[in-house]
Amino acid sequence: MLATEYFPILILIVLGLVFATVFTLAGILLGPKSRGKDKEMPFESGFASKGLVGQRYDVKFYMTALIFLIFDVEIVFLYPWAVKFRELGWFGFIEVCFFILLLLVSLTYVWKKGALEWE
Amino acid sequence: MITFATVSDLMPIIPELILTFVAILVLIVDLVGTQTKYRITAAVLSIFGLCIAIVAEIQLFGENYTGFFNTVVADEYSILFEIIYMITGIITIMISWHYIAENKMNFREYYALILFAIIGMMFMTSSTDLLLIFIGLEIMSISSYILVGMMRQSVKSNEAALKYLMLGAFSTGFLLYGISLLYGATASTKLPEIVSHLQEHGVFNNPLTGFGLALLVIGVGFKVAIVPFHMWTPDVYSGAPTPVTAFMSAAAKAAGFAMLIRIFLTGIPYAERWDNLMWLITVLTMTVGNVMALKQISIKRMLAYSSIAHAGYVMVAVVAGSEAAISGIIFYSLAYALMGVGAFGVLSIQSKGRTLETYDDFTGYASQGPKEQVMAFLMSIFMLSLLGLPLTAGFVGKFQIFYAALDAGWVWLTVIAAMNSVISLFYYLRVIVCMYMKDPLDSAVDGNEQPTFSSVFAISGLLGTAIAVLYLGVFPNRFVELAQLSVKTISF
Amino acid sequence: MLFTFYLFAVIAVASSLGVLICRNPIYSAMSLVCTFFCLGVIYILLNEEFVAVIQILVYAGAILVLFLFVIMLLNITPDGELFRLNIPKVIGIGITIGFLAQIIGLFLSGLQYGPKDIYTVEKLTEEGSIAVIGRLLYGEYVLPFEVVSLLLLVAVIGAVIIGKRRLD
Repeated sequence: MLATEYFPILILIVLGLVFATVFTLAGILLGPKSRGKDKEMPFESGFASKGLVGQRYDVKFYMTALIFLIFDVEIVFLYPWAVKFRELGWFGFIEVCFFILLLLVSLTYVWKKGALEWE
Repeated sequence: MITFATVSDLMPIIPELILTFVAILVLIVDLVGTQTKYRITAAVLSIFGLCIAIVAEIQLFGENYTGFFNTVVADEYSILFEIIYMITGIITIMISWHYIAENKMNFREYYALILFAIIGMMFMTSSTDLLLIFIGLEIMSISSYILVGMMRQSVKSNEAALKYLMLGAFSTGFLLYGISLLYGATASTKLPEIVSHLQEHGVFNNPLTGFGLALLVIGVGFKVAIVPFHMWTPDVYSGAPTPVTAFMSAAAKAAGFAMLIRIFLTGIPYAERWDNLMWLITVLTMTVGNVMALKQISIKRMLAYSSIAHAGYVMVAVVAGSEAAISGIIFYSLAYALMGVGAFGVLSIQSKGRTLETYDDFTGYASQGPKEQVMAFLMSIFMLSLLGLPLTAGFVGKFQIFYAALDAGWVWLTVIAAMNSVISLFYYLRVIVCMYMKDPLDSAVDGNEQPTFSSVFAISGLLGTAIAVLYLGVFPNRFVELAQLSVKTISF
Repeated sequence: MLFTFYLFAVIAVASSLGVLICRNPIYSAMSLVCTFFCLGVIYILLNEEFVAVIQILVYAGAILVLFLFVIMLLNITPDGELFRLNIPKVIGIGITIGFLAQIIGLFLSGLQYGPKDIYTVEKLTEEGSIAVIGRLLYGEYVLPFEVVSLLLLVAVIGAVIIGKRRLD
C-alpha cells in the first residue's frame, strides 16, 4: 500500500533526475565549445572579476533564517490540528488560540526590536 | 475519542501561569521604552510577580493537586523546590539591577529571561512526565545560555556562552536518547509507569533500560556538574555576568537535583554495581571540586569549583537514597541557594569602580570604608556557611546529609566527605584572612563614594540573604520538618 | 519494502560519510541534505508521515539553510589538512568507537522491547499518523504542547539578542 501511495512521488523524483541529467548532458554534448582565458572567467556584468566567490555574508541573513526557523517549527505544530480539526472542536480551537497568542508575543517582540528591518 | 483537559487541570500550574503572565508583561514593558523608569518597572514587576507566585505556592501547599492526566503534580516536594527557585530569583534580581547599571550593559530582556528560566525549572520539578521535564529543562537551559552571553561586549562572556551552549546541547542529546530508550523499553514516558515497569522487570535484565538510565545520568550530570561532566563549570561560571552565575549556581543546580531525585530516587530498583558507580562519581566530584578550588587565584573561579564540591556533598545523599537523605537534599538546596547567591552576589557589587574578582582585589577589603566593611562581614558569613560552621545554614545541611549517609551505612563515604570539608577550610578561610588581616595592596583607592540607590538595594538583598542563612542555621527545625514532610509525597 | 529500506539506508550512510569526508564545507552541507532526505523516506517506511514531513520541512528545509549561512558567515575555506591525529582526537575516536560497540552490542544481546503501546502499525495506517499525533498532542499532551510555545518564545529572544547587531 505504501508503494501505491508514494508512487507519484517516486515518479516525480525520477522525472526530476531524468530532466536534470538529460539537459545538463545535452548542454555539454550539443553546445558549441570555445575555450580561452576570458571564456573561463566567471561573468560579472562585463567587469573583470575580483576576489573569491566565498564572500563573507552578513549576520543579518543568519538572524532572519533563525527567526524563520523558529516560526517554521511553530507552524509544524499546527498540522495535526488541521488534520483533526472537526474532532478537536472548540476545545482544540482555544488551545491553538493560546499557542498563537504566545506566538504573537514573540512576533511583536521581533517586530518592535527591529529585527525584521534590513538596517 | 479525545480526552480533553478541563479548567480544574489548571490548579497545579497556577504559579507557573502567574509567572508566565508576569514574564510576558515584563517583556512588553521592556519593548515600550529604553528609559530608566521602564527598567525599574521591569525589575519591580518581576519581584512582585515572584512574590505573588510564592503566595500562590503556599496556598497550594498540602492540597496535592494533579492535573493534565497526571502530567503535573503540585505536591509538597515540588512546591518547596519551586519556592527555593523563586527566592533565588528575587535575590538575583535585587543584585542584578546594580550590576546592570554599573557595567552599562544592554540588559534589556534580562528580567524576563530570569523569569522564563524559573518557569522552566518549575515545570522540571513539578512534572512526572519525562516529556514535560525535558521541555522545562530546555526552557531553563536556553534562557541560561542567553543570560550567560548577555555581556555582548565581553569576550569572556561570549566564550562562556558558546561553551555552555555546545556542551549543553550535547548533554541534551544524551538525555533525549536516554528518554527514548526508556520509552522503547517501558512504552511510557510517565515516571510512575516507568518505575512500576522497572520494579516488575528489574533494571539490568534488559540492556535497554540500564543503558537508558545511564544516559539519563549523563544528561542530568551535565546540568548539576558532577565530576566527569563538570568541565564547563569553571569557564562558564567565571565568564558569565556575576548575578547570572549566582542564579545558575543556586537555582539551576537545585532544579537539576530536584529532577534527579524525581527520576532516580522514587523507587527504581538498583543493583549493587550501580551503587558502586555512583559512589565513585560522588567521591570524584567532592575531591576534584575541593582540590581544584585550592589553587585558584580568582575567587569567582574558586566559587565555581566549590559549587562542584557542594554538588558532591549532595550526591552523598543521592547515593544514600533514604527518605532522610532526600529531605537533607531539599534543605541543603535551600541552604546552598542562599549562600551561593550571597557569595557570588558580593562579587557582583563593585567597590570604588573596581570589579572584585581575585584574592588580590579582596586584600584589605574590610578596612576600605563603611560599605566595604558591611560587604566584608556579609562575605564572611557566606564563607563560613559554605564551610559548614555551626550556627549557619551550611552546617545544618551538611549535618543532615552526613547523618543520613551514616544511617544508611555509607561510613567511608561520610568520612571522605568530612575530609573534603576540611580541605575546603583552606580556601574559604583564605578569603576572610585576605579581607581582614592584610593591608590593601594599592592605597590609591581611598576617598568616599556616594552610595547609589541601586547599590543600597543590592546590599539590602544580600543582607536579607545573610540573615536567612543565619536564621536557618539557628532555627532549622521548622524547615527540616517541612522537608521531611514533603519527602513523603514523592515516594511512590 | 525491505529493498526500499536498504536502498535508502545505504544512501543515508554513504552521504553522511560524505559529510565527514568532503573538504569543502558547502559540499558537506549538501551531503547532509541527502542524508536528511533518506531519513525522511525511512520514517515514511515506518508509517510516520508526520515525522517525515518535519524531517524534510524543518531539517532539510530550514536548519540546512542555517548551516549554509553559518558556513558563508564564517567564510570557511576548504581545509588542507584532512586527518591530523593528536592525542585528544585519538581518545575521542576511542570513546566513540566504544560507545558505538556498546550500542551495537545492546541491539545484538537479547533486546527486550517493552509492552506494546496501543499505537500499532495497523492503528497508525488505519487512522493516519498525523491524526493520531493530533489527538494526543491536543488531548493528553496539551500541556507540553502549550509549554513548547514558551520555549519557542525564549528561542526567539535568544535569536534576536545574539544576532542583532545593534541593541538599543
